[in-house]
Amino acid sequence: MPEILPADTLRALALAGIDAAKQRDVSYADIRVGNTRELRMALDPWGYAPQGWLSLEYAYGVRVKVGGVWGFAFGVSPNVDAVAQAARSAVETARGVARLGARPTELAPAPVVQGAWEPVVAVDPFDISPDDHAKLLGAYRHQARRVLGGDIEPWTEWQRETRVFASSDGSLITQRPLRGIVNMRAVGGHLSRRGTRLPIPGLFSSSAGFELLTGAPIQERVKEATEEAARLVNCPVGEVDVGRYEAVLDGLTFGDMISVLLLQALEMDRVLGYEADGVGTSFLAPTSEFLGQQICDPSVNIAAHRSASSFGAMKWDDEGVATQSFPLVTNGRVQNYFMTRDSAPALAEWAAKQGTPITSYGSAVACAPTVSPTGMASEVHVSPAAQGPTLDELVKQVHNGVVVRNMGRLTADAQLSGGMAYPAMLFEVKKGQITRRLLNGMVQVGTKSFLKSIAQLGGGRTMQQYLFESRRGESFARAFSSTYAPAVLLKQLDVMRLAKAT
Amino acid sequence: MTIMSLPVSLGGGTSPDAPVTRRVMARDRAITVGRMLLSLVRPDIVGIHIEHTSRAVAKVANGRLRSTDDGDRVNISFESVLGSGIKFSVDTNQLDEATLSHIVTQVESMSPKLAVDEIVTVEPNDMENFTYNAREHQPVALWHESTARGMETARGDAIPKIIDRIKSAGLSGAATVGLSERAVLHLYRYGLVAFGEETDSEVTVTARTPSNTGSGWAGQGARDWNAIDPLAVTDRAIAIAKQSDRPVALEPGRRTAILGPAAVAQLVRRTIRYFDQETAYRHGPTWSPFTNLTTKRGERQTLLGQRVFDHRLMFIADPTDPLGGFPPFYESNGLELWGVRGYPNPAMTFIERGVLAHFANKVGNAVANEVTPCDIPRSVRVATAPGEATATIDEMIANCKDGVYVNRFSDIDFLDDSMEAQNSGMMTGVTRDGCFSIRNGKIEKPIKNFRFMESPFYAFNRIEMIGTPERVAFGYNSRPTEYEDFIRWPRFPIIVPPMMIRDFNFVALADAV
Repeated sequence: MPEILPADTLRALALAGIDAAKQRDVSYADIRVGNTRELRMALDPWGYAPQGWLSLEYAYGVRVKVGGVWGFAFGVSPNVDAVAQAARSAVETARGVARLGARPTELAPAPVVQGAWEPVVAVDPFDISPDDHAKLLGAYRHQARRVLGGDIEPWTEWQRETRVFASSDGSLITQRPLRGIVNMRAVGGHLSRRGTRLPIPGLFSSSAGFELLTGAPIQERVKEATEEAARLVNCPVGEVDVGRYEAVLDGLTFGDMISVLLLQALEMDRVLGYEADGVGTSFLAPTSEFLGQQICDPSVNIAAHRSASSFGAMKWDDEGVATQSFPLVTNGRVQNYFMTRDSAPALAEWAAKQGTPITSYGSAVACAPTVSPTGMASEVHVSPAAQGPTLDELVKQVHNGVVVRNMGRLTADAQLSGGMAYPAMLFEVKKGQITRRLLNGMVQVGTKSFLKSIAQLGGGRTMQQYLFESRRGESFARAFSSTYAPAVLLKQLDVMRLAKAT
Repeated sequence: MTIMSLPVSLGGGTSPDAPVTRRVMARDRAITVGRMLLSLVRPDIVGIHIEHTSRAVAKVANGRLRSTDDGDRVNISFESVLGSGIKFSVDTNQLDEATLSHIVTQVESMSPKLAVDEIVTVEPNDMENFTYNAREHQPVALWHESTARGMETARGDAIPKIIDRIKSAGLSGAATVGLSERAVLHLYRYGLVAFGEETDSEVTVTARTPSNTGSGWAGQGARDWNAIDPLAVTDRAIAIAKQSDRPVALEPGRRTAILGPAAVAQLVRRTIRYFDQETAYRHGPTWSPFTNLTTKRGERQTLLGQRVFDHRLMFIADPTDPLGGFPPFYESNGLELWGVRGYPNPAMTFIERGVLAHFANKVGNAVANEVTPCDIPRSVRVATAPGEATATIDEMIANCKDGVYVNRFSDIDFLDDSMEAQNSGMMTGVTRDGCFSIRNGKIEKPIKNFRFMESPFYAFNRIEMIGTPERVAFGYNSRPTEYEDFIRWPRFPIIVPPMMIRDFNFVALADAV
């Protein structure tokens, strides 16, 4: 499948944009120019009819800093004049508003880089015919439907981009990231009201090729997951009793809650109030009150990654900073936030105390060239307990409580101080045994109390991947990130009942 | 074609008589591109869709201008068949013939080869293809030169005033000023040409008190930038912030709630999906709040013709609505992006005096069932029926003995969203940027935010008083509805009144400020 422009042309356009900005006397300028190909394939919910979506796009976004104000302009016209004009426009706009009273700020230092990178991929999904994409999804559905009451939701998306980054400092980088987003859920109950959904073990979204989806073990895991989903749907049911319970969350649910409530709260744009009129702020502000402070059990360690086959794998981030793993929470204490070169100096004092450089660790993300970079998660790992318990072993520790599996979407408030969700799969536990599936139960959490309630983490075998869509506005942008988390035992979880019609 | 971001002179201002440089495609240009692409693709591809948006946004944070964000987005799409017959939507953002030709060639290399006798020739009068024929569209006036001109000058005029006003009040603040243009074309081989153009603008301001315990938000949206009063918006945000400083906790529970227009709009926006007829009928007994649950299985019916809301309420979608309006044609095929777009979408009353009067339908289904085809009411006006009394917010407060005033909510999301079952429309969210207790007809004190669990399908049957509708600004809206193009800017205008609702279900306190 075609790319719109060759990489050489993208680089020439990027340099033209930077040259145009530099001629206008900016303190800093950078540009992202990219070709993006996306291929989405799904089967209709009821049968085997495939539907596809193919997108082929080119775009650029140039960012300049003048007198402490960022100007950003983007476009889609692939010629030098248009890119240079956008750069000049961004400068003029920033200069105009800088006169209104801005404060010059410093960027975190970053070395000049020139280079190229692309992940090692066995099979490029864009070399696979649409028929073969559809046949594979059809095979998995067929496998799932061989289980009585079983099904699967087969949906995949592949994103391949050639992205060039250039800056007024002299950096020029060409990267070709690839992402495979695999959204396959084993379904029990044929999508009925009380249906169950479970992820396919070992089938993760990541920076990998079509090989993600192939191989005999996947067929077997589809079968096993579907059998479990079908088994769960037949669990005896009952109505929930409102109360505060001990709780076990599977890795998917724990990853959901960590992503929505904690990882977003670690985004510096929220912390610094840049999103106060938009997506919201953060309960982890100001940073001086939280850095180094205990927010959860000492067993909790959370780190960010962008290397190797991680979901957001890049060698350099969208500001040309080398990506590296870095701790977010160590032994239950806050260590870092998601930053850009612009926001990283806000932690200068903390960095000096730690003896670490002032850096964003390469966590700047521009989900598309038309979006200005912000610091956010790409992939995050919550460490499992060494030789930790399985999900069943965690459940055995619960005397009177609940188990939440595959909670679904958690909705949080604007400061991420709490959230509420309607778990699709909520089970009652009595004396270490799952006794019933509870219907119409709601889960409500306050973020701080949730974090302090963590009692024990599951082992490596309970690790699951939660794919999280982070959003920004306005102007609207969204980016997927991946959170791996183990199952967890909570001391308490508030369970409510879904309100009835009145 | 060169799509360029134009220089923006934020400091100077431009004469009102200066010529406006349009940033998005005009009708002729769009049609030329569409016809060119139609000439490149296979003869069985019958329609081309083009959307071109341009925006100029500035964001203020912590009392300073933080960033600007300007540019164009283009989307060109057509539906093709790849492999051995897989239905594909193909999208690109490139307009020049060479690039489009390259893309088409590559796509067609993946398509099944057609024998000459397999090439579809659509008979214009064939019932199956009637939707592709030429149609007349209702004239609308969604384009305002003041807004197009304001793309260059408005931010420079508005932002210093907003910043000064917030600083003078001794508060910190954030704000967003955004203006946009949009052009859209749906063009078919057999005569249907639907072109729409629109402008829009929004100003939203959030002010916070030095104690960081008080927050106020206000916003205004209009297609005509001249109708926006940034200082009035700022003053309102400041007033709410000051009034909301140092809130106290109030016990949650069912309380009379006076919801400001922004709060009502957030609820209404989530109801839009249910006006699709297929949703009410489809698979399973408990799909939609508009499904009739009293019928036996196999006799599924909808609540069409029955009273579903308070008898005073009207829901009207009108392309010519003076406070909003929308392009007068289908922008999707019901809830599906596939299928015909561009077919005329007339003004429609969906709720008439509380009665479910009409559903949105796919064009073909509507014609087959002999009802007027109309699209999902993404843009809607909620108002009182003619002759019904309205009240101001002050009058609602004066008539409230014990209640809560809600300025707006944070993210609202469905709760009853497990699998495909959505029979209640139950939602949750948290009050935000202004929440006050009301006692004996007066605002008593600021209170800590509440989380609510409520369904508008129930709440809109417990209305005590209704105000005069106004166009609402959304500012940032993190959870777009599934059937809305979430990157669409301009937004679909929502025009709603404030409402006083009894027994609104506040279920918990929220720590968020």
